[in-house]
Amino acid sequence: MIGRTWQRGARAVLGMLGLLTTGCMSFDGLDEPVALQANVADWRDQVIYQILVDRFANGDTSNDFNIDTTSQARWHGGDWAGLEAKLPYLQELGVTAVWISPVYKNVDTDANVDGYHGYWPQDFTQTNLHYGDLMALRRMVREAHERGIAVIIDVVTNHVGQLFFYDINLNGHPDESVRGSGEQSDVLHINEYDPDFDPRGIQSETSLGEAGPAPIIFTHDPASNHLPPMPAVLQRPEMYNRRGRTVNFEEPDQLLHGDFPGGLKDLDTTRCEVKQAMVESYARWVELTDVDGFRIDTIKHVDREFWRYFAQKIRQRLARKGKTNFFMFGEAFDGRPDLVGAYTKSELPAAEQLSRENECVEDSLGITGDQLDGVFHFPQYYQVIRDVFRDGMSTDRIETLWADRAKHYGTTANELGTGLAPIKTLVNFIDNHDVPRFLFEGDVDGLRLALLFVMTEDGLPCIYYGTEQEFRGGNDPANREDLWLSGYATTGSTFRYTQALARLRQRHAALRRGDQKVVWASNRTGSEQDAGIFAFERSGGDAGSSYALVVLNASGAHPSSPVFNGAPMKVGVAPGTVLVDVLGNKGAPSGTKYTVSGSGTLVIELPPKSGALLIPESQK
Amino acid sequence: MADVGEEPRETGLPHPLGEPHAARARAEEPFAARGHRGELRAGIALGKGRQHGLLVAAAEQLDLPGPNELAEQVDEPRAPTFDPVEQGPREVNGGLNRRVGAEHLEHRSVAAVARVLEHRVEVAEGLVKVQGEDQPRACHAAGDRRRIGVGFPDVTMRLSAWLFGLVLACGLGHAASSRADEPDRSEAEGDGKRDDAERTPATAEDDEARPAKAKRRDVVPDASPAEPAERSSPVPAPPATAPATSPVPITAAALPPVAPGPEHRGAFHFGSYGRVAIASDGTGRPARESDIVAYGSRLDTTNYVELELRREDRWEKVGIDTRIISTLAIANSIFHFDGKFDSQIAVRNLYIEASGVGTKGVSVWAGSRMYRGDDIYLLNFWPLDNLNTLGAGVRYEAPTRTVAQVHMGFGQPDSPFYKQRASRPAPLNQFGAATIDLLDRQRWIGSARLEQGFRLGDKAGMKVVGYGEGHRLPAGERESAREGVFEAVPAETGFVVGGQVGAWTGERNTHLNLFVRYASGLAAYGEFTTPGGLGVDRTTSGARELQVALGGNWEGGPLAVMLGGYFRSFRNASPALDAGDVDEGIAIVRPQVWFTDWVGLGVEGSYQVQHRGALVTPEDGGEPRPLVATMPRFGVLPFVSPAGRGSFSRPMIWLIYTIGLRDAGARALYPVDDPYNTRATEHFLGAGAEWWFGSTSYGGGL
Repeated sequence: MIGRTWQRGARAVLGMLGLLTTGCMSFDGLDEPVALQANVADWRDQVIYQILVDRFANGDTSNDFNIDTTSQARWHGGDWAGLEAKLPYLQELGVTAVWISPVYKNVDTDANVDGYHGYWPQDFTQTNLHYGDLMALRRMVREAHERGIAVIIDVVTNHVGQLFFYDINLNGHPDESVRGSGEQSDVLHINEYDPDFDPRGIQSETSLGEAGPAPIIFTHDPASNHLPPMPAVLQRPEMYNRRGRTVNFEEPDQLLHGDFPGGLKDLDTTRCEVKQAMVESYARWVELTDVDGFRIDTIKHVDREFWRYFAQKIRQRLARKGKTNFFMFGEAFDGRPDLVGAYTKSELPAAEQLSRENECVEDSLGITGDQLDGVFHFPQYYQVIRDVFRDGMSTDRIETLWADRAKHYGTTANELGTGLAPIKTLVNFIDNHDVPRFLFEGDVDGLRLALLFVMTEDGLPCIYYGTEQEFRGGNDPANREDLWLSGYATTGSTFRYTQALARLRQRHAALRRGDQKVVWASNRTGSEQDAGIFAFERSGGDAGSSYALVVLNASGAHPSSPVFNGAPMKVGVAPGTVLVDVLGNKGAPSGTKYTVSGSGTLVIELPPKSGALLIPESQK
Repeated sequence: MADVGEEPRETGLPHPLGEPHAARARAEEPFAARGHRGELRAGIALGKGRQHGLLVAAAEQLDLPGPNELAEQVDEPRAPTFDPVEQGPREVNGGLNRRVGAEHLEHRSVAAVARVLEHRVEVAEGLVKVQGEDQPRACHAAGDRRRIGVGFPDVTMRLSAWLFGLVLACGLGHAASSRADEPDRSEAEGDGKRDDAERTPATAEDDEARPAKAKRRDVVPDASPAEPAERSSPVPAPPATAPATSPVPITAAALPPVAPGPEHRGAFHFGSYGRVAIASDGTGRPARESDIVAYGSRLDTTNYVELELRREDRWEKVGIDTRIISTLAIANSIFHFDGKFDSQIAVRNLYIEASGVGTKGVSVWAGSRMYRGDDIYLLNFWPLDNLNTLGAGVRYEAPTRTVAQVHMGFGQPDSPFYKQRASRPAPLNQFGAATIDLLDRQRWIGSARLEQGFRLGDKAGMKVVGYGEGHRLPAGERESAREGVFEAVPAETGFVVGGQVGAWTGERNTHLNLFVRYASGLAAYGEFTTPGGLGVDRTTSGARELQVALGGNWEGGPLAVMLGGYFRSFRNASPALDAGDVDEGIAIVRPQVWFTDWVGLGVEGSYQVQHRGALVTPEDGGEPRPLVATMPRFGVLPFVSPAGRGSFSRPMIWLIYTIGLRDAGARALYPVDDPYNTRATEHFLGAGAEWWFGSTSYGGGL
């Protein structure tokens, strides 16, 4: 009996050893290499939804480290698990792509402000644990793809977080000092974390005078994640411009080489090591997760040569692994279309410059003129969303803006890109995390007009989270409210309006792929009959026979019609065509019909701050 | 202010300041939020732990009672049952080797009273009887030791002993032949139960979480006397019945017959468990505990001692026996190492137990106590029942070898999960501020245990145990980071169900135990742990833990083999798989050989594995893979055991050398620049000692 006991015991031990070796933990395939593929057929079909992960949904309390939901500038607990759980909400809204916060590890907190937004990179190789681990990210992306939602991640290449200081006084300690009395001597405030720009590079100095370039010293505070950056190549001082904080953004040297305000240290993006490190880091994230695009931060603060290298090498590397149709679009926070569009044009640099750029190429594929696939349409934000729909200015500026697009934006598709010219994939938005929400100063009618505009015009619409819930926050961080405060309600009027627009966009190819033609714009904003009217057609192009006519009345004062001096608006459909307003407005319900006259004109009147989306009855 | 669920949580992954594995309480948790506002306690504790010179380990490695502390010796009469005129079998599984409880108690009482009477002068003078001075003899003098029964020639053993003596540098001195044969002291409880109050806290917060060592029960003399015992000094012959270890209440029937006298008799007793060691990792650093699982090899556990003072009384008028047990536990640091007078002290036992209440076999207790079942000595692990409780309980032992016991108790770990203090203006318009408790909830734990023993033949036996616990934490309210803004804190519940099957041969300490335990909800976390990885509803609902464990010992002649192993699967309440979820286990074996009655050699081999619900990028930068950490270890420990042969013979002094091989996954458990992260081979070279005597927690209570 004892012998049997021991035999049983031995078998139990062996069984346990077997379990020990193999384990019984199911990763549900998340531990397997990700198969890269093109998850988007045509980027023009997408409706992008911008998400600040920390503020969208909290699905995992185990990563609620140091959260303080009572302060807008602190971590609030949103994460990828929460986003995954709320994908049905986004599906119901009609979103087809999400743009999420940077996924990598940030400086956790600095000067009592947290890195909840993700724009303070510290370690480009690890996930931001506030949002989750790699499995959580993969799980979310996989679930999104299964629901037909693409995932775009935010990337930063211009800078790292507040990871070092300039040892100006050569004492090895980060100091903030004030010199001078202000009476007999000028007051001089020296902040070694964030000194003012010096084109020579920040200089050290003692009481005897300057003492050469100030060394930089990386901080080491694991508790707040002020640690030397990763990958390790970024720990070399020469990888940074080290010229101090930009104080004049109009000065090119400062714009490109100054530290971003807040102590964000500027990378020398002309260096091969920096280019290669950025390509390696971000391509790796795609390879680990199968995400579908990059939204690139602060592109105008980065040298153009970097964009040529980065965009091309990313495309080439991903294409080799099966990831094509990868969409990269950037943020140039500027109202000048020539500046913004410059990052989308395919223009070879001068021979000498090109030769220098090719020194960074490690494969046989030399640098071409290709850059990004798209940019945020910031000029439109200022001139249209703000000036017209919020402030009621004349609509002819829209026509001018659109007419000049071909001058400023790339008109040829990038090799291995989206197959679309950048001019066709401008990203149109109403507001975002860096500007006050539309409703901070605008009204709901104006918001809906803006929504109608961006959802029907040429390009990709991008909706900032919370817009559908009529959030009204002002400047950062007030415009970064917690979405869970809305209860994710889907019955609100703006949610349903946005939802309707998204569905109409999906249903009518003209709104996604049609060419665009302005049929009415007005420089009148008073009591004129057409004051505030703007109308445009979408048709042709890759839309086949699909047609749509969008008519907007941006006037807040009175009803308007596209008529001037008795001459009504001429449209591009055949006379007798019956057009149906598939949206409706305060003056006419959805389904109201309008017939094109024998002369090819259309008469329609719109209440103040309202619009109509007219579709041929045969295509409704 | 901290939010519920966001408190520093011990991660099973290596804490920056400590060891990767902790007791169950730590192992489950993701990376501790050490930077959480104002929460530095754990970090400090761990830092202190690392400063301990002897065996550096995280604070959670303090051998504090964890979920699997020592057996609840105190409840079970452990004394073997044997006829006063002949040696009975060793108490392998004391609870069930007893004959009718009353007889056993009588024998035990006889022994106790005999000692009291024998040493009444000492007691009167000194109040405290230092039992240890004569306990080995008192407990086992009547017994005799079984000599090597496997045919080894005596000359070979003597030669081996001399050679071993030459090798040992510690100057063993006297010839082995001058030593008395001592009865084997190991407690044959079938479980290797040792009342090891030492703790290896799972978490920095959970200073009490580590399982105590198994209780060592006084060994019952062999049934077949082989040689007369030799003693270095004459001692009073103990009663034929070796006294039961701690838990047996004294009854009048157990006391020797005395002339009608006082209605009250009593005596003080002293007992102790302790271990101390010093070691190096071969590079000049102090050695550290290097196990990667929650319950690993105990060869490198930290220093710890329990000092027990016990008062036992017999109340003749009412026929009730009482005992008052107080046990102080002292853990690192050791003053002689770091020069600091800052050892950590805890009260491990402070309770009264009354036996014979109402009817024979019924005992009641109240107070603070280590309340636990059987352990696996090699792992310092109590797989089934191991509570550190402040409460009360009832126990009934029937003549049919059926034991039923229930208890309930409360606890409040020092954590914002349980308690939140806030500052408010003083009342009545007075100066200053007052501190109030906004959230103040204590955890209720109730347990029930039913044990049935079976005799198999003359000596052998087995038992079957069913066990369960209930846990509850009431709802509450806490203040958010903004003063005046409150948020609800939900209630928590949990339960444990489990069982044990044990068998013993009745020969020395040969036994085998199989444990299975399942815990759910709040109970899946350690009793002193701050739950982490909460669910979306911010509760522990959904957390679960399954443990299957095996422990045993075989002894024959000069040989002994201890073995153990377990598999544990923990999932926190967070629905998705994450780093806080773990599957782990270990298989360990320690064969030992006694070259003589008091010197021997042991070797130990173990293999431990841990899976985490996390992906790590391998060193070669390839595809991320699930974290799997393994570490085989091998150790050699020559020892001196003055108490004689037996796996559980104590005291024991030993040299230890171990080598551990840490794979990439095991190294990844440690922070960058930690030596455990950079080197794959770990050496441990040291010396140590362990003892127990006269302790209710560690066998030999009387």
